[in-house]
Amino acid sequence: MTRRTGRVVAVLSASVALAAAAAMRQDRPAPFDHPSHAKLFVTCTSCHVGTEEAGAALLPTPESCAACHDGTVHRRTDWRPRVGPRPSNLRFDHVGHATVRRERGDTAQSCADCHAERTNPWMTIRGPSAPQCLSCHRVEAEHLTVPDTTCATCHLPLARADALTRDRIARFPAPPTHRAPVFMRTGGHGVQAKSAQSCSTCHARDFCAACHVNAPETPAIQALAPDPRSLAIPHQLKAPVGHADRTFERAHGAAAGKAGAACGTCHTKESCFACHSGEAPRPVLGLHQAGPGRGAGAATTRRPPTNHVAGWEGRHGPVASAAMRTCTSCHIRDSCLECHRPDASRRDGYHPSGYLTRHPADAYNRTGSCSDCHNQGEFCQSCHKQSGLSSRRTLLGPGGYHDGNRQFGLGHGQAARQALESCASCHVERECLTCHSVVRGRGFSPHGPGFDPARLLRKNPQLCIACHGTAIPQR
Amino acid sequence: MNPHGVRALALLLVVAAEPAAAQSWRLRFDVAAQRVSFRGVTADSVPESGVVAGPTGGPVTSDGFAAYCYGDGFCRFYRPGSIRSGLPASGSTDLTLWGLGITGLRIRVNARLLRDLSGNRLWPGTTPALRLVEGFAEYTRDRFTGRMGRLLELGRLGNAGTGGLDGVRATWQSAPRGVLLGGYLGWGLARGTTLPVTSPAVNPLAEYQPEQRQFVAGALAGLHLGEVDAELEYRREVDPFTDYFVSERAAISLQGGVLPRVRVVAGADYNIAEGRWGSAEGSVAYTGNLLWATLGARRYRPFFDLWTVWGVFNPVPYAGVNGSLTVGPVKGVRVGARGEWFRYDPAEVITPNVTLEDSGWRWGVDATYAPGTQWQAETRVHGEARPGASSSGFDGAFTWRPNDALTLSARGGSLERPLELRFQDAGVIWAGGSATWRSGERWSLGMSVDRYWESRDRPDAASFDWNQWRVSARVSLTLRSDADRWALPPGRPREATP
Repeated sequence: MTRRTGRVVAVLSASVALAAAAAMRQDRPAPFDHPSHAKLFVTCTSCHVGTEEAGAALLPTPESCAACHDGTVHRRTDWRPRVGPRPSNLRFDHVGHATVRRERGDTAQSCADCHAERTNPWMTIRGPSAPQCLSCHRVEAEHLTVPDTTCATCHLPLARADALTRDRIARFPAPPTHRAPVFMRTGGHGVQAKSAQSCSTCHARDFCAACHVNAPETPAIQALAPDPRSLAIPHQLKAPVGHADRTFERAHGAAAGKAGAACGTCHTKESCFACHSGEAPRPVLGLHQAGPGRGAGAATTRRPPTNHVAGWEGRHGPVASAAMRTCTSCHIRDSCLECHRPDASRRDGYHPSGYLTRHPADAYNRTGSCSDCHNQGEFCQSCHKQSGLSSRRTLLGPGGYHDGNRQFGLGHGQAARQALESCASCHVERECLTCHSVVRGRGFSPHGPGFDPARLLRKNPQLCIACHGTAIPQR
Repeated sequence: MNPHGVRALALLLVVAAEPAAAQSWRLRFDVAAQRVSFRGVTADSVPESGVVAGPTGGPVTSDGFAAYCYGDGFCRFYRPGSIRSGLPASGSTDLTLWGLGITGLRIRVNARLLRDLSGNRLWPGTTPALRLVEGFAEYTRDRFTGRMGRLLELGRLGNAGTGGLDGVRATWQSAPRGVLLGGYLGWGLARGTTLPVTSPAVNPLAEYQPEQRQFVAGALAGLHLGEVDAELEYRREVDPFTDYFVSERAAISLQGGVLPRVRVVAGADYNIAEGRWGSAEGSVAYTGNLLWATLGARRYRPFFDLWTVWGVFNPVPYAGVNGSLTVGPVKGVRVGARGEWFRYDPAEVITPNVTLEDSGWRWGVDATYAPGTQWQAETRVHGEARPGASSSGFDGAFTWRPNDALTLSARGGSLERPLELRFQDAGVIWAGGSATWRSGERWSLGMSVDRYWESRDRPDAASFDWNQWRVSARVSLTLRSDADRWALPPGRPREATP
């Protein structure tokens, strides 16, 4: 695209946008200037026939305006009446009200009672206010504090107020009760909603379901009509105060397991996956599953339990070894590997920086269980083989590792019993069987304390046959 | 699917990763590489007539290498090998996916690619390069949970990375507080890896190896009483070729809060096949506001499958007591100490030629000063005096976080590590630094450089140079839908999920 073409396109685009904006503006009827017409009309019903006659239009037609605004007597006007239902959730009916007033013999200035201040000049009007409604209907309370049963006197349920826009709904004022600290807690809005008749004035099922993942199972919520516009009211899923407690992480599992626990109000099984990405704990099974027709549930921020204090990395070993499933409710294998793998960039990893240099001492005495993460063959033997340290022939094959003790070959028994896994990281079985075998070696018994030959023979006789052949001694 | 197809599919998944309605997912990529090099040894031998008495009285070759003579006419020793280098690079992907149109269905896949880009294959775990670590479909309905696929059975009988199987697992729970029953069965994986025991990769020394994968079956029974959990586990592995046991074990684990701030954890396993107790641990932990303390005892006995003969050599266990104490007297300061004493059971073998200690201890003291969130200084002194091998040393680090995204760290330390069963009294000093950059929860980049100066205090010619540089880099990328993990969002209905 050339620069010239670009400029043309930009100008055209701007023109189209301006034209569209103007057209949209024209779609919105300009408010009628009542005071300017004060000397022309002496009654309201000359234009607003529908306020007293059922079936008649509530607002005048453009043609009736054109009787004067014909371009000769007065300039033309583009005023047009609103099309469609009133953008309100009021159930107010002009004809009905007028009828009641007529029946009561009350006909004087009936419109101005609601649409004008008493001291205002003729046709200086305003919209009706809630206090006026409450006054006539003898409700002695502020608009937003009226008894629960009275809202429906003037208001339609939100789901039936079809013409209300999301913008209007978003500006709904909240009653003072909603700001009370207890409103969002146990015994707050949930208890009130069970008997309340007024919730539907401003809310619909979707609004509740945004937070309540148990909405499909909650009668008070199911009693409301569905209406996605209800989500226009600002709402924020706030964690209960107790969730901020320092001990919450530690205690929430037990609390969740108790009868009557309210976790299922805000949490699905999936919200627990944020932390419990491994084996889901048992209380999680009692929660609803996320799915169509149900809220996603409160997402949770992953926080460590209180016992995971600074330095925990260095101390968690015994706990992890003793009851691994405690860890696996939150940690998957990858979580372990965050530390349990060589990473020189992390000083506090499971193996600290430079561990390759220091691993012989730890491995020899099995400070931890190396084989929990490392396969003896794949990891230890293959690396020692690469380094030239492994021995895979016979005891008299390549050697020289134990060069600090001339007699080691004859006196290795204690070392082998204490650190057999270290031996097996360089030596193969048949190397040991050079001596410790009846059929192929020199018959030195390797069996030590606690050896139970009968049991092993029962479990796996191949083990015995490897050294004794089929003539397995019976003891 | 060929490699190009896999790459194209992966790219498509990343680019088109727009979750459908009712779906949530989390996908994480990790890529890391490091440059490593080391000098190995080469076995050599000379006739017995070619050695002389060295400074310690032992035989030494004419060119100064300590040798080991068996009496068969030759003496063996190790010469310094050539310097070998490798460039191991790993990539892993982790996907959790749920909301697939079937309520209760979840899919989890964790795979890893590890290759030595230098082509030398000197890094362990590079064959086969692509591995499925975990991959299963999980279905949860009410109190029932079932899984099928490659499973890692992480319990008392197998910690991280062990106890894997290709099979099915099912659990049923009576109530949130109540009884849990479950079981699993399938074809097992080798211990400490995600490969079957028949893979050549787990048998580098060409030792005896089973011809078929072991068949694994296990049962679980748990009791959950709110603050107290107890679990029993039984597992047997059978070689389908011989129909004999590979292992048969049972374990118990307990954990609970007995008092406020006090938690007890204990576990033990019993080797039914060999008729003896295996490892056991127990600890009591106190977590206070200014003080944290643990007191525990443990026993460790190595475990071997019955398709090896290692078990009949009767390795003896060691038992020890340990404790730790950490105090935070003032804000930002933390001082801790830990220690363990342990003793091996009597080996019941006469070794007049070689005498070893049968007890040892370990200790460590550490201190951390972190006046704010921006920087932290820490140091640690540690020592281990143990049968066969000892070590002692100290290290320290200084970490600076100028902002939430960047972390810079400098570190250094020293270590002495004498080995009892050979000439080896090596000392190493190292210094290095690292930088980590995080972009929110999505990107993480890290790089480190370290220099090692190692001195081999040997009385012979094998005291060769091991000084080296180590360089590593890591990239991590996490993608996810918004329903998972991150800060509390406004509630919204499932239908409105983008």
